[in-house]
Amino acid sequence: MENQKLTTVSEYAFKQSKLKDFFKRYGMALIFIAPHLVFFLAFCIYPLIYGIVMSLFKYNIADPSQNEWRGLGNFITLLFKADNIYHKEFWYAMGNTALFAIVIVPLSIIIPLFMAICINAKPKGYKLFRSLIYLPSVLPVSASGVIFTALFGFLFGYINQWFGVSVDWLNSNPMLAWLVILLLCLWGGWGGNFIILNAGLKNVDKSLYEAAAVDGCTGMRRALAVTLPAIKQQMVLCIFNTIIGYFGLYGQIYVLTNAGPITDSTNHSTMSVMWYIQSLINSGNYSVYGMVSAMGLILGIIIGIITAIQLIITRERKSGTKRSNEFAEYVKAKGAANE
Amino acid sequence: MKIKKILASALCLTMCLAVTASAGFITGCKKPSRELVNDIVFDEFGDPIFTDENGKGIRLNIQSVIGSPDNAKLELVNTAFNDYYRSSGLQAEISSVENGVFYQQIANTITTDPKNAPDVIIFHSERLTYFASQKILVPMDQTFEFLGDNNTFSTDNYLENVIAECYDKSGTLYGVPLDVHSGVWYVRKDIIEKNGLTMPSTKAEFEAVCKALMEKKADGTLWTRDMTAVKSQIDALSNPNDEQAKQKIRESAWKQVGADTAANFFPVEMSGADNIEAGWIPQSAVLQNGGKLTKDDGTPAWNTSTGLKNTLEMIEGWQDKYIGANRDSQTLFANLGNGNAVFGCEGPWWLEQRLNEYDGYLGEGALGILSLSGLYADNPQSGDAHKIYGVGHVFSITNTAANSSATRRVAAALYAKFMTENAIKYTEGGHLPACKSVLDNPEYKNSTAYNRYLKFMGQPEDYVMLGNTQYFSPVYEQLKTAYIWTLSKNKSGTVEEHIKGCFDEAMAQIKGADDL
Repeated sequence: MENQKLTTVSEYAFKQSKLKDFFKRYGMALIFIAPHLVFFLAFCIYPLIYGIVMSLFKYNIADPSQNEWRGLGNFITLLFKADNIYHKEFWYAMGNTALFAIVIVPLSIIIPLFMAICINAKPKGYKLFRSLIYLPSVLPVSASGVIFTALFGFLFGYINQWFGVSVDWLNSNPMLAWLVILLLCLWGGWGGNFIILNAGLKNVDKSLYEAAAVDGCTGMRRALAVTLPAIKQQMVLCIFNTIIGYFGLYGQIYVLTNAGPITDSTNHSTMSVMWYIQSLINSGNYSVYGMVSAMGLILGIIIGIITAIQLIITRERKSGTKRSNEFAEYVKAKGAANE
Repeated sequence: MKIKKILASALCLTMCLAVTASAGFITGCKKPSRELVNDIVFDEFGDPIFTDENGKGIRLNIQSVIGSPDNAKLELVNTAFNDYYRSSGLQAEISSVENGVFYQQIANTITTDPKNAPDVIIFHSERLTYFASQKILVPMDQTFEFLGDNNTFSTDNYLENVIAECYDKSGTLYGVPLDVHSGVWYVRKDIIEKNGLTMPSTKAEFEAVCKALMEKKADGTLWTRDMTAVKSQIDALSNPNDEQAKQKIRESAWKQVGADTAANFFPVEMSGADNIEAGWIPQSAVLQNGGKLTKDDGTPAWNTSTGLKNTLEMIEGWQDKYIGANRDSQTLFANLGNGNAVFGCEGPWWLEQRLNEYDGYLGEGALGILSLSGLYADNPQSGDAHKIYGVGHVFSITNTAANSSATRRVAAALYAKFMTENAIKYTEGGHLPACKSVLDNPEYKNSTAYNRYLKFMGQPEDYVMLGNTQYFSPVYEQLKTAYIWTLSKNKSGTVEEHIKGCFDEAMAQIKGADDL
């Protein structure tokens, strides 16, 4: 009884007031953040960790007693074992995906940028055009895929009928199949970049144009020397978002070619990484999930590296007023020197 | 700062929990205890009692890959089962699940959601060996043994060639076969006969008919008839029972055409894109020429078959000669109907519908049925020429917690037995029964379905299954790929090279799966 620590009234009052103070300060924030936090932890963090752990095993969804520790074995297979089929097909699919992302990026920037510049000039009916430009982005991939299948179908496709040709766009030459996928991606995806670039253009300081005009800079020169540097941040954002987005290329391939045409026994000519991962999940091999998780993580790491490059490139502006402060200091120092 | 600490702590806690839970689950987790509990109680006649002390019976949850249109026929047999066992408190409910979804989800459902997992699954028996190896199924023969002296199930009552695929490697029975089937050629018999030709039964005859038809097309002496034109006229008749008027319309629909008026006429409907025959023709070609589809270790054996090579080369040579350029599965029945094709390979489940249509509009016998028997044999006189690659449906009991009750497991086994032994109605969907007592049943032999189309599908004893392989996907899909490539517009190399390529790919997939 003697050793029992007694709480004094003042201590109790202090603790209570501290707790009360805490909830007063952060309670509302916690209430607002809680729903997202719970779902974020449950559906993002937990599956991510689970996926990482799965990738370290031979993981069998049918019979957990067959699960076996593999350590980094799945990663080593994917990265270094060139004779392994998972290695070969994963990197073939990765090559396809990366190449496609690289090819589509310039088009995904230039076309929306051109449209944004046109819309920003506010021609007659520009609001209608703005809506029409964004409209394809509203459609889900399955719906736009149906439209493109109707357009590029071999037997009853509108393109073949309109132009009186008989081209099997989706099931003969891989380049033709890739072209149709590219067109669908462009058409369905330009809306997002258009909105970002359009917003960027709107925020360009008008005084820059006035200054450029005073210096006799007009037309293309003005666009290159004023407009583009002014929306550099938005363009960088669009470029990296597009690259990252197309590393997850799946839906367009699924609805248009299902990774075909098959050009030889091993070659699904339009296979992307995501399609390959999904095909393994659907293959009926219940032990492949550890390997598939490793593939997902490698893809995630590659996307992470690209994101890191983006962050490094955009760091300067994001860090605030470093350059402007430096310039102010320079002017100040120069002024002081002149004095 | 404090809120940041709290959020960071929550994050850390979740991550720790995730790591612990997932690692613990993956490493330590065995399947929940599903030791068989012998809770079976018999009545005075030695039959199991399916109701508990509260009078509550057993309701079996069945999942089936059998889709439209033949799932309706299966439902008829299921209704008969429910009627028969209603007083015993045993009932069953079937839900159809699309093929791809079924095979992707069944393992996960049984492992992680046993409450909603089916008690019995009806699936393709070629996957049974793999399912058994993955412990998704429980042994069927041991389940029947619970019935003791009242057990009337016998494997002898099933076709040996079909039930062979229901055993695993160790010889344990994991399923009861329902049926066997393969693709059939839907043939415009009326066009063949009108042109003075006869139905083929060998590879050479098949080619000869195609050649003769194309020659007639070139000469402008080809007789064809468009069912859609006949249909619209017959449907417009004021008296739908006026047989004389119908016959007149049918006769007047014949037209003699040539290359200029029937440019789209090509006798064979085939396509490398998505036609279903890829799953039957190359396999039958291997079997009819003395080859095997799988070795004893489950790996593919079709790569050495000269019959496969010869058949694929033959089909390759048919392109733009007997097979039109603009064909795929969507055009098959349309081109057969309008007389732009004579042969189209499809699943037998459409037979009843198509025969009704053709018999109604073009008269009985206008649509012929040709099984694959003998059509791909280099030597039609050989003992293997009659073989047909068969695909069968099988009933298996799943390895769920609910099925750890012997009573429930016996109920599931009796369901499989009843459904297979009473499958006459189901066979109307274009499937040959696997159960001998059905095959010998006069009701089956005298049935309309048997006499209209089932008897033309070949002898069920002639069907050969894929075999007990746990490498179903590489073995089967790569052989399909070889066929698809044959009709591909983008191919390079010879048929022989491509068969080798597909075989190497199958072996690489098998090695990859084994090395996982």
